[in-house]
Amino acid sequence: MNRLSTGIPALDTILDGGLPVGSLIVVAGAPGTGKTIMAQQICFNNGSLDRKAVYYSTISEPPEKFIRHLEVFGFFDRAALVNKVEFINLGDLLEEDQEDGINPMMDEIVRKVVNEHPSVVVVDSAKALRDFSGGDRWLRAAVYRLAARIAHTDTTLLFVGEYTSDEIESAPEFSLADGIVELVYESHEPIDRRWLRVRKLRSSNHLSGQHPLQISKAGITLFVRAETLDGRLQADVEPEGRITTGVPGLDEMTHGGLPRAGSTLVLGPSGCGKTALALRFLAKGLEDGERCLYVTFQENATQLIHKAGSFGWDLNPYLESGQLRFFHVTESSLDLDILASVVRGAIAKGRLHRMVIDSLAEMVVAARESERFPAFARTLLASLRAAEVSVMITSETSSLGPTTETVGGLSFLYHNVVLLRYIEQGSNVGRAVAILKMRDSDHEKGLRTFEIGSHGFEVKAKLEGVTGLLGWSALRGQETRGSDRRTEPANPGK
Amino acid sequence: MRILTGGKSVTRILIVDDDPGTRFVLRLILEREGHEILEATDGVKALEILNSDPLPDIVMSDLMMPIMSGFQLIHRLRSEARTLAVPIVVVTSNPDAALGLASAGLVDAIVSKPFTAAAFAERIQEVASKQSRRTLLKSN
Repeated sequence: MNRLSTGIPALDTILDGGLPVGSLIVVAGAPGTGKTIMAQQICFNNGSLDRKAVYYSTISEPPEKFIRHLEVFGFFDRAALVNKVEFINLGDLLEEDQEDGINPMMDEIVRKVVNEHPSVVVVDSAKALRDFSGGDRWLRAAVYRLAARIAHTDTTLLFVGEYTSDEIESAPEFSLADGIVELVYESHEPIDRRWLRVRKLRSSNHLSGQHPLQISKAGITLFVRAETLDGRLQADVEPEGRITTGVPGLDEMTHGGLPRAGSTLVLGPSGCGKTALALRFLAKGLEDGERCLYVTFQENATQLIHKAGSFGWDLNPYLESGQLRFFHVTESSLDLDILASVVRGAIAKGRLHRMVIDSLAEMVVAARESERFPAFARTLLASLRAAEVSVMITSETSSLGPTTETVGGLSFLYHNVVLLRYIEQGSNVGRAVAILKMRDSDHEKGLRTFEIGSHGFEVKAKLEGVTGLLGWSALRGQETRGSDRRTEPANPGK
Repeated sequence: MRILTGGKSVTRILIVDDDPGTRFVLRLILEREGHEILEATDGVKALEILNSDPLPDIVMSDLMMPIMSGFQLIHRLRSEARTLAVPIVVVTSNPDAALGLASAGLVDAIVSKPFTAAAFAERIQEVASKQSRRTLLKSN
């Protein structure tokens, strides 16, 4: 089936390539959901001297008002009006108090399509047709005739209307339509959201589910719901080899570095060194000529560059050359699908070698979509693995002391899990690192101390001859076996 | 055309526009200037009015309309002897689209939407005066 590109890339992906030509598609949604902007954007993206786009208004807003509101959008081109995009008011063709009051309007649409073969015709608001027909029977007959005639052409017809969910279930426009695209405005603290769902698209393998939609000066931007791409992103070949973390001691603990294109979860309490490790991981990749992406939800690029600089790693040249990219999004505006879209975009722009997400726990909480998180994470990680990207994901544990919580028990999603934690050493608070898990690879089972110093993340000595390491205190092993069970803090330096 | 005191001419103006809001505003501005207004919602309705006497003094047409566009209407008017000389003013959101009509001598003026009432009235008065001079020359 031939398709008409909407000119909105993610929408084309969702629609399995675009809008089917010769079809009637209903775009339904409450006022403020963005349906009119989307339809107008499609018109300006498709209108040409050879094949116009035609925007018919009924009794919603007059064309002049449409045009005035359009001027703020980047896709609007006044020079395209008349010759490429026509705005026509059909209000005077609708005849009140007649059962076939919409027929003159329907005839005008067919005449336009047959005589001038526009690429796309929009009727906004199509819901007004209900007010000018003698009930569902008349409306059904008129829409049927129109859809049947359009089917013989290569024009796509969009009916745009403020339909409720109940109307989508039962109104004749929807049963006769070849496709139904629903737009929704959803109250969602702290920032409300809009999304789009394709409820029906005949003869198409469209992407189901809620796809986030944003309106900006550029017009409509859509983000494909990440999980709907699951299965299209599997790696053809299992990646092989190892990559160095840039921390020699950690490479020893992992028996030669992390498996390439793997996902590594770094767990640890606040301030323990997760970001320092992630920065080192990325800096090492940059030093080796790799392209890297840092996704951050708290510290912005400037702060992270400054932090890396304090460890002696100057990231500025890499940022300027485009080898390094930061994506900073505040928790309040974080959306999982936008994040996934940014990642896919970075991959599409060229080979991406390393990526950091800092941090996972914030992402899950901020996204307020914990119920979908396992499926989302699986898809995101699959897409990264398919693109052979090695990813390090930090996750803050809620306790400063002994914990191995892994974001709702989801550690199975990650190839490797590294635990950072505070330990009590005499009267001091020290830090320890352990490799909890490495998929299909042996690794050091013990703990080592580490420090965050002027050279960043530095792994020190093994903690040997002590026990109780997963509790608060590292204790000398022999003393815990003593009859009086007297305890002393271990001194790992000795 | 009737001539009022003070040199202002009263003209019969046919407004052809699919948008009732635009027609309403144009009527308001032009009636305030003393003009007589006729209305049509598309090119076909405009032709029906133009088929009856007397001819309007000015046809003011939008370009984007259902059934028959402004382009089609203008070409029809210029192809028939009866309406060949009727002044035509195009009122459009994209004046560039009408430049071809102007350079071909098919229209007498182009007014860009959105417009201010004063500028619009002034433009129409120019066209009306020009037409008035033409009529006087012809009758002499």
